[in-house]
Amino acid sequence: MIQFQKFTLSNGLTVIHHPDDATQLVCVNILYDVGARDERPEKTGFAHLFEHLMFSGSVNIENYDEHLEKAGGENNAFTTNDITNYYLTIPRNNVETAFWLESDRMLSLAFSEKGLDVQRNVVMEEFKQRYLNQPYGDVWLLLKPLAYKVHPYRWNTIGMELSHIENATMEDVKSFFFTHYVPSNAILVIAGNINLEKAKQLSEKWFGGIASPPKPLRQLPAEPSQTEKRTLRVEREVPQDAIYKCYHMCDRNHPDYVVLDMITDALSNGQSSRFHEHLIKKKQLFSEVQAYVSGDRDPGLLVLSGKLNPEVSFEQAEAALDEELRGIIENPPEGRELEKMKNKTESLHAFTEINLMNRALGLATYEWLGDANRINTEIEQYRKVSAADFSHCAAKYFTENNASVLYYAKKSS
Amino acid sequence: MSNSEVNRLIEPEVEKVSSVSLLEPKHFSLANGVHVYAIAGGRQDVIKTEVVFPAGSRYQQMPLQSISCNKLMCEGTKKHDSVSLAEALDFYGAYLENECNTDTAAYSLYSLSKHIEPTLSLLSEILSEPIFPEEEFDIYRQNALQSFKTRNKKVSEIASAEFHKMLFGNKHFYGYRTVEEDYHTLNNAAVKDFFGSTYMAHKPFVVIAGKPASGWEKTLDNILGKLPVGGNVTANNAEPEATEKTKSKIHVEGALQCAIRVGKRLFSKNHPDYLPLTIVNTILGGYFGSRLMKNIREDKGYTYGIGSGLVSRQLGGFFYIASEVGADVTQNALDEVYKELHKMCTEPVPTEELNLVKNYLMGQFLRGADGVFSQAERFLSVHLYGLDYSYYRRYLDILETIHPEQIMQLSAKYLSPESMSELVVGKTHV
Repeated sequence: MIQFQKFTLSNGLTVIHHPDDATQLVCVNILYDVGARDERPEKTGFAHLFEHLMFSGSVNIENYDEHLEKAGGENNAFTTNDITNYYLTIPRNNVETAFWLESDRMLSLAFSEKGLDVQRNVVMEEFKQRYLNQPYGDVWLLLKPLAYKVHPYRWNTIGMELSHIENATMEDVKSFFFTHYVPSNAILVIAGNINLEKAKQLSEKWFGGIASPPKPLRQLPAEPSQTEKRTLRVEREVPQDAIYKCYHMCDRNHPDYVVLDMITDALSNGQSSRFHEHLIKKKQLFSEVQAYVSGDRDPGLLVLSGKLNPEVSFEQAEAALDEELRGIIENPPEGRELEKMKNKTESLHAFTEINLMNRALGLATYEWLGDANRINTEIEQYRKVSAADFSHCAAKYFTENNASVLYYAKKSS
Repeated sequence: MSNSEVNRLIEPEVEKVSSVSLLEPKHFSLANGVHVYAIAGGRQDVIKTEVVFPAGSRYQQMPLQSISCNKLMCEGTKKHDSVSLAEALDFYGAYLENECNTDTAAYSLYSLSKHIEPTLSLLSEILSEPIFPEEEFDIYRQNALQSFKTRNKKVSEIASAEFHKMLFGNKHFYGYRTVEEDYHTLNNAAVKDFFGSTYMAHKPFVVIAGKPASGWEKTLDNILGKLPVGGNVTANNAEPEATEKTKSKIHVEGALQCAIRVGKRLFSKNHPDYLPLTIVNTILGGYFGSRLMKNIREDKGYTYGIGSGLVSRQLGGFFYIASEVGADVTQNALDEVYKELHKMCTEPVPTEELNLVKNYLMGQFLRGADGVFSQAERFLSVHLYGLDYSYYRRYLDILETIHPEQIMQLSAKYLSPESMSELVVGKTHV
């Protein structure tokens, strides 16, 4: 059970406090409700580029990292389709430095041309390093526009193409900041060795005076239901053929989400999962094979992916994946298999909560989804899932018309 | 409530990060003489049990023998086939982690405190009676080869493997670079032999951390205390031969970035200069605000990331600088790397920068002690070198007292640009 208190400042900033006196550290996590889905199609990759710019100086503080490091702190950040999240840990006696730094960059940035120039380059190198210069690195650059035609999930957080990042202007940066980086659009979590009174006092002192325009409205086009199977075949310089088959699924807050998440557990979580036992050990069709849900806020994807053994055709591989999905419908996990999966979920929960930063991020994420207390209660939803739920959900989502398949072939030399 | 009076130009007062208490593990021995180091604590009802064997690649007769043995031990025992073994562990919500490096090999069990007995019994089976089925070997070899081929397409992976070879030589186990052929030569008999000659012949030690359900001494004694253990350690203690400083390039067609490595052989943690040199390394390339990051990423934008490190093995160690940079700016990036090295050797580090690094490292030290699992790692990282907690007390002491002059002297002694080997992997023909 994770204890926490929630309060809201008059400017709309949501604050969550989680005490833990077993540590000498405090973790400060700020989640901004803005991600790649909030970008315009002709300016993609911007939320992520912006995350980099948050380290290029704020209105009163030239160098965020230097001050944090001097106080013994360390930080990082990440951007997803939906959110941008900044987190740090700092020795408890220097916690005020964290408030000073984070509030100043919520207030306003330095907007330095040099910072923008440099971070454009850094992000372009990141694009190359992670997506273009790696075997299988461009899979998601291909898969997302295949699965999504309308919704902004059709592009990746890194952006659709290098030129979008290259062409980002200071004007874009400013308007993005003043629209999205406002108190009413953020959730602040203060976790660790700090009491509630001090957390309240410091939040009010440093964040309370930041004016807040209303939370930006989000009106995203819904992805229409897919009506026929989509396929794409590419050839690349890779050692093995690989297949990626994905299905549109529900959004993160839909009751089907936990069922679909558990279906992917049954298929591929651990060495005794169905994929591992059937496809790697018995049939030996794949050298590795996974199933997972994207976990996006808006309707996301359930993905099956695998690397094919030599001499295995795409037809064989796909047929084997399809058979496993039929297996979930016709022979859903029950009895010992179902109990095993629930035990695993419970234990994963316990292990995740060891880490202070995980707890802070968990609280921020669930609050963003609607209720921080789901960090404690969502496990109940997993405990309730029945064999009938598996069959029902599998039949509902696993249809060929709802599938997009990427055949990623090894270039024949 | 208005806060317009908050003066944001004045930084909140920063206190020096105070030193931390070092929680040393409790030591006891099992009936078979296996040493156990235990750290009790934490809020969650979980336990991590790590069993460490002297069974790294240093002990092998042929390439891939040690890693393959480590991976295949859990693929079937006298009582369970691979799937039922995995199923039994999964059923209790337990996780196994097996790892193997040049010096040691280990199995870690993560379990809920209430299930420690049955899961520990399964681990004990893996460690004492694996049967190495032929079919599991074939599957493993095929999949490991595929994964090797994929890694071998990445400039960073090629660079790491080749750089070890440059520094330690291909004949030494610290330098040997795996080739595809090794997967074809590997056979199940060799894997079984390795198990017999290392895991069964040596004595492991155990590090256990977490929240015990009841006294764990008895549980450990009942289960791991029955492991058959030997006592004869036949380690390969051959020191790597001296290697010449070299410069080398490997061309990879179509690569958009070049992986660069600059570095040299140094020494293990046991060397008296290792600890002060970790502070030197931090200034140069060991944290986000390091000189290499500031110059090559934050000022020039040549890379997504660049860093340096000191790596310690039981019989030696090395220093490296690593990055992936845009193919067209490779030489510029290298020039800047050498400039930074030169600066470390010839100019005393400004006091303000040194103080920042000292405080940052104290924060890191606190983070490294946060939680029982981290404390277990902290213990392991000295115990593997025959060191004890006086190593950390010495570290805290050095952190307190090291001064700019010393940093410059250490740099000049160990990190001169002229002494470095260099490797570039990627699009090297412009």
